[in-house]
Amino acid sequence: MNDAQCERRQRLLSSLIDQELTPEEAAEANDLLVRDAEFRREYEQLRSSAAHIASLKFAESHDQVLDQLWQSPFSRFSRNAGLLLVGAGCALLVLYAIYQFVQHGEWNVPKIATATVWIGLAMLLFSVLREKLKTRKSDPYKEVRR
Amino acid sequence: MDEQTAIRLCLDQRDVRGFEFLFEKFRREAYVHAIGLLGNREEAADACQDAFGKAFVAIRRLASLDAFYPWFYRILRNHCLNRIARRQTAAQYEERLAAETATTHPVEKPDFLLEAREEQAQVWDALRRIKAEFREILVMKYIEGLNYDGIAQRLQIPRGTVMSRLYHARKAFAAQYAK
Repeated sequence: MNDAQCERRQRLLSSLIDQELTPEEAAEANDLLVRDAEFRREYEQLRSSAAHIASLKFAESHDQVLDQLWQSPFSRFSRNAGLLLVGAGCALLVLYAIYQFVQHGEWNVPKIATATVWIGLAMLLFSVLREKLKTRKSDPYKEVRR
Repeated sequence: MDEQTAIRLCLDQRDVRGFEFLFEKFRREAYVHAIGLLGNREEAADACQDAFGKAFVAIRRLASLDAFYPWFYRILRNHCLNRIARRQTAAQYEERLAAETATTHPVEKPDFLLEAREEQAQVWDALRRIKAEFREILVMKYIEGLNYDGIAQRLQIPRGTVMSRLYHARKAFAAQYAK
């Protein structure tokens, strides 16, 4: 069986199980059911899977849960703005400490703090980049259109 | 107010009441889809909140929009898939699933299922272990009850692809359920 025939067969099986056949497809599927044991076996197996999945029912979500999905259109902006302010504040502190170090060249607390922050940031950046590269190699969703 | 009026309010006047109407109308549907993709209520609620936030910002930049939910669903779906991808690398995920399958602890009963019967929990457990795009299409077909044209429209794929994907999704489910 070639690829096109194989795919045609898969599609027929799907639409037979879900009863979405056109009259021509129905005739073809019935014919296969009668004369092809493998088609019949696969049909029974997939129909059983479909019945299992169809038995699942999600509980009705309460309104108070759904209300929480949208408390305020501005909560997202305030969170982002907060993160931006914290980031900007840290960056200013670091820049000031660098300025002090360059101007006066003293080995003091700001210098140690600055070095610690820079080393920490570098480590974080390195780990993020490493993780991104690793994920890119094995990401099963990279073909998904964003 | 109807959907078209609400969309016009969002697009033309940037009126938050339009978006609030659309949120009220589609929040339940979005929540069910997010649960279907992500597999737990807390993460689904977070994803919906983020997706509605993104949509609220993005809708103002659109020149026109025929229907809200197909557009919104693309945002929600991409957000959920990104979350799944971020959870762990595929290799780590496979390792964890293999370890979980190998152990004999009882199957966890998800709190979003209507009936907490063991059989239902096993069905969900098998669904949870298949690819997200397979779980997504099975949830649309069997839990939401969409027909092929509805699924094709929602996922923006041809009807033939819906049939093929459903075939492979059922195969994948059957393999996991048999374990």
